[in-house]
Amino acid sequence: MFYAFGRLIYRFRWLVLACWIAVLGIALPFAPRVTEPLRVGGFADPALESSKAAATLARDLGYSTSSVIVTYSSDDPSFLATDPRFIAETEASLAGLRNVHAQTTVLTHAANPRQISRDGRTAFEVVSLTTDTEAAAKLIPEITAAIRPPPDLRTRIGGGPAFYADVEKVSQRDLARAEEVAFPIAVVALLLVFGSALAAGLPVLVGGAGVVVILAVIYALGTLMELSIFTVNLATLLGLGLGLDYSLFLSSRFREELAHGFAVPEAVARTLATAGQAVVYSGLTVLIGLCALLTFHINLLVSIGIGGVVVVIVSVLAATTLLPVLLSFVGTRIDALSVRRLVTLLRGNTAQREDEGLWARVAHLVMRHPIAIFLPTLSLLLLLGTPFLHITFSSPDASIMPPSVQSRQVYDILNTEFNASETTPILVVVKTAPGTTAFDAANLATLSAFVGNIQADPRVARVESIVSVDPRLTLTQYQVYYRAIADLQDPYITQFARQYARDDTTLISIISKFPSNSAESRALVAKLRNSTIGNGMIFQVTGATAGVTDVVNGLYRSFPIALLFIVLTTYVVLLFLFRSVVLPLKAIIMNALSIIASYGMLVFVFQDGHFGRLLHFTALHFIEPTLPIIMFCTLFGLSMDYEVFLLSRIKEAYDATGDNAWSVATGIERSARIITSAALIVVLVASSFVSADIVLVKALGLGVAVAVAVDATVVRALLVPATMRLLGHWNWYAPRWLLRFLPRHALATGGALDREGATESLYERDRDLVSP
Amino acid sequence: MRPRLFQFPACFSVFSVVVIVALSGCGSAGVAESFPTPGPNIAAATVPASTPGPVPGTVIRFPLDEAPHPVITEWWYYTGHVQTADGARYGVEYVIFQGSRADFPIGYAAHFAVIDPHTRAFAYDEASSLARNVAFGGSDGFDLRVNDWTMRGRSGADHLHAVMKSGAYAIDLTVTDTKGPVLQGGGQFSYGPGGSSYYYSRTRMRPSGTMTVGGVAKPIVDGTLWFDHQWGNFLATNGGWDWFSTQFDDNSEMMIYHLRDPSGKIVQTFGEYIPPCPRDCSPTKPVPSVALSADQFSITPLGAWTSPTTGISYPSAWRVTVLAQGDVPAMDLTYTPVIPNAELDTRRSTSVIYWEGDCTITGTKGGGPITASGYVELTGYDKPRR
Repeated sequence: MFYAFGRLIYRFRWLVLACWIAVLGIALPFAPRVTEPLRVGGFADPALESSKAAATLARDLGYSTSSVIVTYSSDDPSFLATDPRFIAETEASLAGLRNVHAQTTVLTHAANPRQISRDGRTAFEVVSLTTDTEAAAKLIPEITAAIRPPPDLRTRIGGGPAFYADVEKVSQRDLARAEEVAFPIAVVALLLVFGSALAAGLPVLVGGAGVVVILAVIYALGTLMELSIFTVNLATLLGLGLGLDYSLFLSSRFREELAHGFAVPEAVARTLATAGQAVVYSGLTVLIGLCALLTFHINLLVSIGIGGVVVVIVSVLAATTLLPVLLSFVGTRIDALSVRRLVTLLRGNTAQREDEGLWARVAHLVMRHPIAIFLPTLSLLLLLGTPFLHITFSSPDASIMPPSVQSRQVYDILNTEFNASETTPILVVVKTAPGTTAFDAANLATLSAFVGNIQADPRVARVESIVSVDPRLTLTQYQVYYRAIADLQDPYITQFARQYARDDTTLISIISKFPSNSAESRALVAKLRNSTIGNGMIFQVTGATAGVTDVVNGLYRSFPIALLFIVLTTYVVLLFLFRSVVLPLKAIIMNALSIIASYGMLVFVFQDGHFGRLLHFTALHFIEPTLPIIMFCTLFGLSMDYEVFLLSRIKEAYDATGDNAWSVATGIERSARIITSAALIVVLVASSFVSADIVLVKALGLGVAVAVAVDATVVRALLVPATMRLLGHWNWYAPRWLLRFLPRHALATGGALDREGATESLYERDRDLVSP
Repeated sequence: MRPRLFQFPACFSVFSVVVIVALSGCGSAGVAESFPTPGPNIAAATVPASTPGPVPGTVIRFPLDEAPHPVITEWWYYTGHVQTADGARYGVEYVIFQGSRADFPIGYAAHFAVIDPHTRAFAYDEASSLARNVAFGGSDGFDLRVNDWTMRGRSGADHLHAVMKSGAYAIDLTVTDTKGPVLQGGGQFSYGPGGSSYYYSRTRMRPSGTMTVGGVAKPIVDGTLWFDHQWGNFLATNGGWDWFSTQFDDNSEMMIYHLRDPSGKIVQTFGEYIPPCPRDCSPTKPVPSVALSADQFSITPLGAWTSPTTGISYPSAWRVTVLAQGDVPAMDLTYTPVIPNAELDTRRSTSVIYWEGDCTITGTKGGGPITASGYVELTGYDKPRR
């Protein structure tokens, strides 16, 4: 089928080229605008209890989830935030906010002294907006312009909306920088691999065309549905990686076919029949991994899943249509503009036989001592993965931003100069029985008892509620004061009551003694959720701890299903491809090992903070919960890519000879240059994302780079030959009844196309030289 | 050729299971503890009526209790009049409020008001500040500061200093208790279920020092001030109050008080009569006083004044009658504000608008004519009646 498709592509090459030019013509104006319709948030699932409770708070109590935090700091130790001049200057600084095109309310440190730092020299003001954080982020430039920095104070603007605005700004900068770094590196790598500027230029051209179309499609989808801005980062990374990989694989095969003396039309058809088919199957496995992301309810994951699916489809289409067309035109001129002298110098003599190269020799060495290699290698990979066992999840906050960004500076100030737990309380949203209000005496009595129980918990530092405004006030006093709430004279209690209760809704805010990420705080949330208030009142829990708990629980409840989906479908695809029940399982386990090692690295580096100075970040002390899932789905696909390329070459040799060990060594050697080059390009492209300022993007880049590097070296050179030697002929086993259902020539190998191919003759000649 | 079964490393399948289980196990937390559910508590839900009642607590100690206390509300409150060497008389109000809420820094608010009957001028200013690490207790009395305004005192020898930002008026006074402290309600004053407080007054303090008017410092030659010190875990009531201090020319004093609920209904009354000073009066020894029962006195407004600034209407001029009982003589007194406009809009510092003014008092006491001076404070008139 692929052979015929190749013939067809060659026949209609002008039409295919015209189609691509038309598509690129349409896509080109939209690709640079890709981030316009995309959103910054999307880390939570609106169906989760914490999301619902947050929505109730916003709707019924006017609790603003989008607050801009403005900090003012004095360098003069005697100029304190309690000084009337300090207060006057900060009030004057914010006076311009009334001209902003959004409804803002300002809670100043003069009204809430808890907004004054421990040393008294820093204060923060809370500017609450009625819009959601996403919309509020768009107002940040206007808000920033309206805030007039006082001459004696250092002013910084942070909080959720500023963080979102900074994420958008910094991620675009990261993206541009990554592209600036990745593209030249990839071009140089391709030049080294192909030894010709024209041959190297084709993958760049195809990869570049693919990325333009991908970005335009994401732009179009972004206008139709909510897509995360991080889709672009992943799409660029994956688009460049896959585009170059696939092009590399096909171009290389095309040159091989030309070298075997085939004419250009035949070489194109044979390229598509072999490498093209492998690319489609490989793309299919990547697609499966990314499709699993669509099963989650978190917008970020779905966005990346959709973006990834677009990337794979466009990359496969570009590699199997545009590239063959370009190869048709280039033909035998593919080696034009040679840089071979340099390449030869770098690569050494390549004129050796396929089973005598470095990779084949290593494979033979490994296969002579399979257990001695297998066990330590397996142990090493598992050992690398062990840091993953103490992974701590948390939602992304401004700590993922570089210290030079104001939202990060404000975050640091709030965490170091104020009580960190104060800004991340556990929020209990209480609804009273129908027909009653939170201020009814009976409800106050029940709330008071419930709050008293919470306060008695040793993990609780403080509880803020309408019945715990001040520990010196009694329940009876609250009942008296709230009987005529509108007439309360005390500004503090009035403001408190207004913020914490309205009609049938009231808020209990619990400040834990422990960080929001801690096991203690999570246990508190669990304890609350196991409790009931009584008197017909019901409640939901939200806040940072509950939010992360819900997201993580939700994600990792769905993850095994997604995992199973990926594993089973990949297994089936590989079963069709290799006609073996064992090889797909082996491939899946090898992939899992690379991913586990990269997971371990992720925790070791970004959570534990190792190599922070080298990589320019400060320890996060947590991992964003979606990151391992994104990495798993992406890496599973990418690693499977190489596994498919490798096993298809091994199977090609095995189909021709039936000798397991020889096939393994030969397959590894034959695919070595391409897989090494492809992996090198992906590692380099992914590594370019390590230069990103956003730690999440940095982590994704490093995670992918490590996993691919491990996969292309340790797994391919050591684990695959050792395992395949241990498995022996079990590698190729499939029950007879099953084989009846599997297509006979799923993988159109060179041997199948070329009955008298070089493989068989080479094997016959050298059978006695290789290991038994 | 069929491969031999034993060659298949079983660890692969075991490993894949371990991976899946390890990944799926992440993030799970399963603690089954819970908070006890409060039972139905009808008694707690029944709010008693707001009536005065005994306040548990210790008696007031001097000078220990002159110092600030770690309570929700506390104030040091001077009202009265001073006479300068040029014969001018000025009504003066100078108060510092201390507010402590939860674990916030302590908030201070100060009001300083002057009534000039000669020019019929009324001027006031307010200030507020926050303080951390306030030292409560001690035997050094109080030493308060709100920005540049200060108030110090111990054993009835106090010093007051305040300057209006406009420069219109300033005081630099030393006030001396000439009679001794009065324990209002025995020193314990209750707001019923709304809270309770400790309360003493120095009802006759003699001022000296200077009164600065328009930048000109005038020596003070005479005058009488009334000092209240009240503290406790209570908040200002939802309604308001009418408070009257009276300093009779015969060296006796009287304080009467109405607390109103949000509807304007009087829910609590309080009165204390302080006879002339006995021979052994001391600034640290409480002087005897007589509590007035609710049915022993009445307060009847005689007129009203509407603020042109805020539009709030206040009663203006009152007739106060007191029935004779025990050591308390019968009284029939008329309180007339020296000037009607003595409204303070202090929403910036204490969130309230109130009226507080110097009054001339005439009438009879014990059957004979008597004159007196005093101050009246009216709060809660800025809210609509419910």
